[in-house]
Amino acid sequence: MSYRYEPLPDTQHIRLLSLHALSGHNSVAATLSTHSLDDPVAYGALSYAWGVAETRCAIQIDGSSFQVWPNSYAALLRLVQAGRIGPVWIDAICIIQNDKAEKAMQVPLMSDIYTHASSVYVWLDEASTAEEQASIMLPDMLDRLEKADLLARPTFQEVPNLSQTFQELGLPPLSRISESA
Amino acid sequence: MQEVLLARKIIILCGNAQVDWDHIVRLERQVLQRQLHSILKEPVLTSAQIFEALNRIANFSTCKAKMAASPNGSVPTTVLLHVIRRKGVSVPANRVYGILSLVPASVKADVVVDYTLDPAIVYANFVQLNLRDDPMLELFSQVRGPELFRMHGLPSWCLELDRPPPINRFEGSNGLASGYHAGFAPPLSERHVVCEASDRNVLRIPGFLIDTVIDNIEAFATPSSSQVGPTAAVAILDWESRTRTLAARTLKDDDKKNRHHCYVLALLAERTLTKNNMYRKFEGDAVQLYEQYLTHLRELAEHGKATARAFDFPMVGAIADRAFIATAQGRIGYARPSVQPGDSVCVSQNSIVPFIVRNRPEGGTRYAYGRGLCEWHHARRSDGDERSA
Repeated sequence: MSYRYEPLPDTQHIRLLSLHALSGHNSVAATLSTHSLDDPVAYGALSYAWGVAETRCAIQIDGSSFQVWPNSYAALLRLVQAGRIGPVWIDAICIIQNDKAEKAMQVPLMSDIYTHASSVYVWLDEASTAEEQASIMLPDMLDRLEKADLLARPTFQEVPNLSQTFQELGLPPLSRISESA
Repeated sequence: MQEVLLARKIIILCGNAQVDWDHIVRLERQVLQRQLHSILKEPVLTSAQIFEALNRIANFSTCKAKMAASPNGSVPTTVLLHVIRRKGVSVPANRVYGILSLVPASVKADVVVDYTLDPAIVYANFVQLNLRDDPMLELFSQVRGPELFRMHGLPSWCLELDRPPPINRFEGSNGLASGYHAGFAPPLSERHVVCEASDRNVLRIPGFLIDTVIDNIEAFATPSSSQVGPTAAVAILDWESRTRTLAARTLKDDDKKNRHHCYVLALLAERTLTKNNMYRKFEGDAVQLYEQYLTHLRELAEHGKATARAFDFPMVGAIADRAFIATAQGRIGYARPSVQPGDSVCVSQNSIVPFIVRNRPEGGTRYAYGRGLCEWHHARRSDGDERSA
């Protein structure tokens, strides 16, 4: 059975998706609820590229099937796997996309939605093992870089240890950041 | 874009990897400071990709800093337009609706979010609203200076209905210097500003009606020689006094001191830029310079001679043969001597240089411009009344 939306009560309300903890298979299940922006509810917001894939992936919302783009499915799955199962706002699900009147009502709220969110998660894509390792080591590496003597302005050749560290780490591919923005 | 700029905290997710946005920004700084681009290159990234990514990060960081420093928490619209014009969207209207959280509240309040509208109308309405509030869109076509510098290529993202070859020689009343090249550095003059769509004797110009001339002070003729005598000095002082009064009455800034500063700055810039190679002479305190100029004229008027003659040619020569105008929306500027109250002020698409045009007596959408005609194609009034050619 496909999911059926409940209408929003007024122009200050938004929907939030509460992800359920992962159970068994790699599937995403969630509950969709309505909240007023005037009430302080802690939630995150998800940002991702919509993509142009022809296929859809199914998630479960309140026990009903809901079709999403593969990219948003991967992002939601990642949040669940990481244990981030609090309420999250995601435009493709929290706004009825084929309801132009609701979109017109929700778009002016974007400013409040993003500024009230405790965090914004930006989903890029799947990562290689090296990229995952680099992300873990990045904070420590930045500390080491920033503690180095900036006044001495070392060149790349003068800091072989640092360059070696960079190479070993295989820094995250920055081009992906540009794709998401 | 707005989700990144508005977020309190950003977490980048990439597969099982997770990076704080703050770390990305810190990394970008280290890469730039220590020139570490080359070691990011292998094995998958090209130099162009690296620089593009670093540039994007820097843009976001800059925008976030500007928002934090801005009194109304918004990003300059020119910056936003520069970013979004290159951004792909699945719903065209979202080019506008997707940045509403970032534009000034005065603009956002008047944008009607309606997904049933033609995207071209959405774009046009948005540009219209920004033109209304654009502090840089003065009628001083040749003003330039750090605070008046305009970004390249805006708002060319909007409403490109067609793109015929540009006309590279579209001269104003004073030649190219006061035509659409006015106020731009050379690269900007090559933009697609005016397009010739049809008819040999009619220019069809996509653009916007933004204002109406409500008052003007007649031009005075260029003095016969480059040196100004006592009689001319008296006339010019009178002209200066009347234009100053009209400017003070028209400019809507409550701060009289700032109002006078704006007037003088634009006045001097107009004059100096009209005469090439004279710009350097007038760097410094604009108001002080203007007062020196008036003192110079008073000396001439009262004693028949002045201690310095450097002002004569650039200051007086440039302003001669131009009318001074005031508009309904509080703008001031210069116009051709034939300008009349009721004339329309228009800005062509892809340009920020206004033109003053007049409805032809028989009505319709054709306007008189100089000795020819032009059609203001898809021009729109502030109230949304479309005038499509």
